[in-house]
Amino acid sequence: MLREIKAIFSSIGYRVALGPEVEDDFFNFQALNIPQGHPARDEWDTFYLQNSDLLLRTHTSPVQIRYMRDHRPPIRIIAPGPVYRHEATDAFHEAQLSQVEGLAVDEDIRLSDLIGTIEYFSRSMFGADRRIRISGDHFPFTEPSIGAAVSCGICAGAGCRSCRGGWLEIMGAGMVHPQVLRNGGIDPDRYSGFAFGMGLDRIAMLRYDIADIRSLRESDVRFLRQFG
Amino acid sequence: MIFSRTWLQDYVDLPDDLERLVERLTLSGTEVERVVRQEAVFEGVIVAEVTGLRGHPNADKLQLATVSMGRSSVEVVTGAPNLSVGDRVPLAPPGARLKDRRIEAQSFRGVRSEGMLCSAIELGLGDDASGIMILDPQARPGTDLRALYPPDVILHLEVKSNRPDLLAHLGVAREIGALFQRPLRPPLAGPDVAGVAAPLATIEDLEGCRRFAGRVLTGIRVAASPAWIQSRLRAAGVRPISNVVDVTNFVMLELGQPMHAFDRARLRQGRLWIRRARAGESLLCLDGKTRELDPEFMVVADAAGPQGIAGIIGGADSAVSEQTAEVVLEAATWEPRRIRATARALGIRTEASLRFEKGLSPALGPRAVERAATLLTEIAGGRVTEGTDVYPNPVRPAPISLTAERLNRTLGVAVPVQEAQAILQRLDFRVELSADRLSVTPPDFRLDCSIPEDLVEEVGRVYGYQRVPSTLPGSRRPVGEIFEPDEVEERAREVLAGLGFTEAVTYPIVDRRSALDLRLPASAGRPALIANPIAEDRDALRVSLLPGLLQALARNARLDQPGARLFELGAGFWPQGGDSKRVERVEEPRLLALAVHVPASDPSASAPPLRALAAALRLLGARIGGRAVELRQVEAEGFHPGRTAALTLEGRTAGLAGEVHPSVLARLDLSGRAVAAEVVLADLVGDGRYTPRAAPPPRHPGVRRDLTVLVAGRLPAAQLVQVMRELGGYTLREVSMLSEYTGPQLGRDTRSLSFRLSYQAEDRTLTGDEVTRLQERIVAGLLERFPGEVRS
Repeated sequence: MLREIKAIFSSIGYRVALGPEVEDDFFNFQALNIPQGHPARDEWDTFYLQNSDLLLRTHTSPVQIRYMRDHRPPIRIIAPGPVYRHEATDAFHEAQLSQVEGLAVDEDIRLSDLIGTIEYFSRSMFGADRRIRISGDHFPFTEPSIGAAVSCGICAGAGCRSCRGGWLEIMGAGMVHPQVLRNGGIDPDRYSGFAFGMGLDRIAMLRYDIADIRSLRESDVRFLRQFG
Repeated sequence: MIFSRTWLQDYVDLPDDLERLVERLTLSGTEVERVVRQEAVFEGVIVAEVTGLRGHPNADKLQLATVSMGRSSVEVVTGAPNLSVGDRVPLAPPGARLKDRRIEAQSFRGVRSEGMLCSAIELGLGDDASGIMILDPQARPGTDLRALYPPDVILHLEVKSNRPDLLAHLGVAREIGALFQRPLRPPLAGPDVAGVAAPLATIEDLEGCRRFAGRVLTGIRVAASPAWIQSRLRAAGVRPISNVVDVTNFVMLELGQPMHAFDRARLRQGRLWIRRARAGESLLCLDGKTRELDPEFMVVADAAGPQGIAGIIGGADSAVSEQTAEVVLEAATWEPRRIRATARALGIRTEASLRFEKGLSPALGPRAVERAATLLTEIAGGRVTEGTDVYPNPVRPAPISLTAERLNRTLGVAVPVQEAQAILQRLDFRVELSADRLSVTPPDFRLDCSIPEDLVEEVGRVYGYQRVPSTLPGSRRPVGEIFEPDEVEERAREVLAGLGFTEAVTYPIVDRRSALDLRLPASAGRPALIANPIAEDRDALRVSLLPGLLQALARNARLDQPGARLFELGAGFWPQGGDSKRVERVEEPRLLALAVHVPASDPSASAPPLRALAAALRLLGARIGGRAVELRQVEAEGFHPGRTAALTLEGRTAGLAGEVHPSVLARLDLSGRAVAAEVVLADLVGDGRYTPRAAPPPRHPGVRRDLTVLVAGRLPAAQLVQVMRELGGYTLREVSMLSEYTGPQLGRDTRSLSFRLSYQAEDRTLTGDEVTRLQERIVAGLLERFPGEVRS
């Protein structure tokens, strides 16, 4: 499925960028406008290494900073990979998840471009008849921030048992915060950008109707063979 | 947080269409998670006034109450102890309905009762069953009780962390007003304490407390709150206690500022100090528990000691009681990080701490004190006296400049500048418009807004993101980097899927006890350990993919899926650091591992899968890096001695392949055998670009000859092949192994190995003699190179 996501974004000029899974505080938090004392940093969310200042990245967003520091605009990347959350394992939460991050930085990037990109991706991924719904949201590293949902494939947005109101949330996104651009060494007066992040497991659950996210990690060949 | 529609309606006219309200709120960024429609459980119940009370002639515990319904009066029998003449009470006359029960006139001990008086619990309006519910004294007898307690709708909203101003009914009402273009009706403010410095409180730690507003009320009569306050609190999920406590909770839910009320008579010296707790101090809290205090906690103290843990919970000793006549109201702004740390240290979260953690605006303090003081004068007979407002370092929102051009370019839609201005003004931002430039000052309760992008978001979310078109970015741009396909791993997947392997994804966080069971020699000899593991057996980062993959084989065998063939692509974590414990850096090589379960357990059962594994690795080497993989026998931890090889490319070691040691399988409780391999992907790939070079197809036919040799001892076939290639020269194009045979007629330790050799020349057709000579040269060479081990 990641291959499909890569193919969709590759068709509109994105390349794949990767980053380390063991990160430091600066890239995982500070550079993304999450200073010391921010609720997201509390220990119940993050795995730290023993005898070290390092941590397991809690999102793929550090790749944004690393890539911006090494490249000049125009930038169009997606960054897939595992992320880690200090959470108990249940049907909807896992200590380890896979995310796909996206970043576009250029002159004159607009929110409408972000919305168009989400629509292009969602309809390519889930079907041309799907609609998207954009709502306000909040993330420290984007301003404005939005959330995107896709219309339910079962009830077409009317609301049914599996979707709670017709819409299924697929990603968080927004215009890159000017301070984050600066932290990436990019002049926010000249350039603007958007970023988005989605949970691969969430996309897989929606795409393949997987009820329990843990099935993706149990390596049961009877489960895995369904996906080739 | 939960909100009452009835309460919101106090401050703004809500749209009639509830679904539209839910949708607009959700799209604007405040998700409506749930809508609960409350249903009245009573019908036909009316307000009645108690006009007379007398004892029941035949029963000591019953009373006869004469109640007036306005035009007429009736007599009812009641057992409640709490009635006085003049009380307004709910009367269920014959024909009324309570839950599933129809009320009829009936006799109790010979006296006929024309209906019944109801307690709060019988009406579903509370959990008090101790007596008849006493209604608002202003309620007019004869009124349908539903007019006083209309069925409410409860909205469960998910308030984003940057919007603590929405943790209040007034804040949400303002938001709704902005979305539906309706004016806000803010509650009336009372006497003004802002800027009044009276010696009521002293802030000793300004880092922990940014502002402290207080007000003293005298002549308080503590009693139950009026119905309108009780019903609003109940709708918001807060239990009514007494008028003073209810007012502090009401103001918190109305304005968002948590408050506390102290009984002034219980405060030593009648005033307060705001300070850090001192080592050794403890406090008996409102919930009856005594808590040890830490100097990291802020406290509100009197001359003798702490009377409350700041922002978390009050003390029992100075709490408002029925005897309280003089009250000190507190509305402070606490440092959010300290509150969060304190709440965590104590393991409690309260309505107050949840709000303070978000970082409340200091502007709220005096407003809350004024509002609470006003309410208490109205409902508890209080008189407003001393007030205080300690706020040494005031913050004032600075104006933000936003041009129409920037707004429209960021959103990608043309919002008329007047519309942007109107949206911001409805959110209580002050806006000055000159030409196309907006100068915008956020209201003092919106500390989240400080840069133009914040204003773009305010306009965008109220204007509606659904009105922003879908476009794709694109501009004329220079040719920068060239296209580099990210396909090494995809190619590996294709090759392995073709060979019948299934891809597995196992947890990178593993048990440190098994993390080093099998690993590449190049890896660090220790795993990186997790400082705060989630479970005892998930306390280290994997060094190798193999322990996890073997567990997956074992799991599949238990699930009645023996013989699984799995592969995994993922990072290994190799800690690097100066001394042995410190982790300065973690190297993260991309690894590829394969593992095959062999259900049979006889010693020769693993030979065919080992050959298949070697073939798979050769194919991967060729398809991914375009290079030949060589296997050389080695010994490695966790692998079977004599059945393990190092995988090398161009002389460099890239991985290991072999049979898994039986002791490892025994620990996994996996019967049979297993073969496995792991390689560092980068070493397999080489420079990362595999481009097949085209060579013309051969024009002359080739010749194939088979060769069988007897081999004594453990001499690996790979070494024989190497010698064959050396001696065969360029005309020997391919050597493949046909079979391996052992049997009693060959004797112990002797194997018969058959190979197929393909010869071909580019410039001529090879003659049989030529090939025979080559073949003889190879046989002679083998005998010479491995004396005593090879027989033809």
